[in-house]
Amino acid sequence: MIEYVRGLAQIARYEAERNPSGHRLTEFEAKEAYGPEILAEVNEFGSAVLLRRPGAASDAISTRRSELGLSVAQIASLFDITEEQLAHVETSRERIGIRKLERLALLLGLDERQLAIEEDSGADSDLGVRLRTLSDQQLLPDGTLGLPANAVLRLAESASIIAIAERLRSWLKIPTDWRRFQPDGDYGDRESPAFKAGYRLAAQARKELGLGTGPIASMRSLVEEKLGLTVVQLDLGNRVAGATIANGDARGIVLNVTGENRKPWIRRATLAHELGHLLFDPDERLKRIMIDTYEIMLDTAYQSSRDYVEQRANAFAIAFLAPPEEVTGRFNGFSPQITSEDVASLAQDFGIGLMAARYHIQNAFHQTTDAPAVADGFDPEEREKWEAAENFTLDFFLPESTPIQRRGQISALITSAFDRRLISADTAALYLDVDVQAFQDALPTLRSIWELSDPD
Amino acid sequence: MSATNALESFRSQYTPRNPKAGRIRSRSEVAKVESDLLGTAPTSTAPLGVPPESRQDSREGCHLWVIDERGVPYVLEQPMAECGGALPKHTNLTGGNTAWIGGEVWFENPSSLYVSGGSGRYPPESAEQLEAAVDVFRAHSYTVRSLGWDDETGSPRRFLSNESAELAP
Repeated sequence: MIEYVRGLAQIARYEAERNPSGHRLTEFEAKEAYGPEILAEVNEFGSAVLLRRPGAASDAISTRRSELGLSVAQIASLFDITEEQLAHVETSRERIGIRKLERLALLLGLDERQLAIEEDSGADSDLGVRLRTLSDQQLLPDGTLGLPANAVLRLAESASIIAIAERLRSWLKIPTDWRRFQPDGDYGDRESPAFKAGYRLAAQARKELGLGTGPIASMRSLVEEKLGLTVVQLDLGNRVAGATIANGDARGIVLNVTGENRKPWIRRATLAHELGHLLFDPDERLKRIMIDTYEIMLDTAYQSSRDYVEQRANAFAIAFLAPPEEVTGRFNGFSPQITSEDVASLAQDFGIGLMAARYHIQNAFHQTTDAPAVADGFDPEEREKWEAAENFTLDFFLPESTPIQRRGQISALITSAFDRRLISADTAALYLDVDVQAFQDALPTLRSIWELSDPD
Repeated sequence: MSATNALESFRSQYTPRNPKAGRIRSRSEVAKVESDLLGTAPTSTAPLGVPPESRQDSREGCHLWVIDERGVPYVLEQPMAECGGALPKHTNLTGGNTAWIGGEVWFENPSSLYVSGGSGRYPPESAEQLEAAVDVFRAHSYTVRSLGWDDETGSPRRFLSNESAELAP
């Protein structure tokens, strides 16, 4: 089996007895990344020079850092590198190995395969610029101050994760259903409010996906496995609920696991809200990255929001999770009144919040019906059920050192790609952000979690 | 050390090898071409050049070399009729026979040159073997700059970097 090994400046055939310290690659991924001509040159001369120009890698890292509006100190504090080392990388004075540089590149939302090869090392500079607008130097759409450095960096990293997942799906020939949905420019007007457009699109999406009108067992599973969209779950602090990211042709959703999203019904609603944006908002509205704060998301009386785009997304979310016809069908002709138990049962059956259920009933009956508030919270068993469905690999995962943002379906794609020899153990470990031995030790568990058969 | 002694020392220390399996694709790649021998042909007439610092730079002036029974034959990397109009390979220097090692050389001027171990057919087996071959060039009274070894890929470096060492004769 032919393998290759990549250093920062050149690529060669992998020969174990030479103990190379670079990044080992399968023949497949080397050909995909660098092309048959480069590999032919390796064959002919033992290696091929990849380096575009001296200093290309350090310039790309420096440029990306500036695009994100982050200082050397901010990045160094979040990465196992000293400020001095990072500053020296950017001035080409420090020789840091390719594997550490690749890890840094991923963290910054760069394509690590193109480090030092393409002028911008595979950066989507529009994305970088957009991320900068979210930094704490700016105001968010809801008028609050922007995000701290670590949140901006996590979003940049999410962009890399989404791009990698897209690439692996393509290599594994996994269909991505989300691409068949077309943007829809109807955000309502005076005659027909935005929420009606949201309801319509939710019904359309359910129909196209063959979901019927029943509860959705797991939004995470539906979005990742059926639609082929990457969901990155991670800690984004207490203000941001979620975000959509467009990185090149890849699309994905970022979901905060802290703040209100700790409640599984809120997280489901956030995911459905972001899905509404991603499936139906035109590309120019997605603007590479759009974030939604909890303030926007929890506007359950969505008509009060001034932003029609968010009104539509909120309406899409609740109608997608609990089709209005199910609500009216369930409660029509109820006598004498809808009770708090009725509201609770709707919430628990469909995995939506109690307040959301209450408003949804009232809206479904065009405000002609009063749905009472529910004094008690969600039934703990029901909560556990929804948590398990939405958390899945967040709760238990091997290797334990895998950051939560890499535990989603991307870990299934990585494992499959490794088993089919599309990527090496080095690449798999890089993408999971663990060391190679930890990845190899965890392989049987990863296969078991994702129900993948042992290739041997 | 004289050039002759340096060659003998190198050849006694290492083993000659057939070209690496699977590299030869046609008979034209083993057709023996006319070549110069280091230390006998005047390098003042060799096309001059320096190694690339990156992929975008030119390889102009690159010569292929091997160490074999004759010494250090080398040939300019340019299309040759004997090679069917293609660029020569290291096996065109040897006729497909054994050699100890091969690589690339650029003559910066008649008395100084750059050496790499870039050969897929007769690759250096180690950084030490490459440096021993570089010593053979030095023994021929050249100021030699070796492109060195790339630890990340475990292979000879094929570009000029600030880690490429200069070795006076």
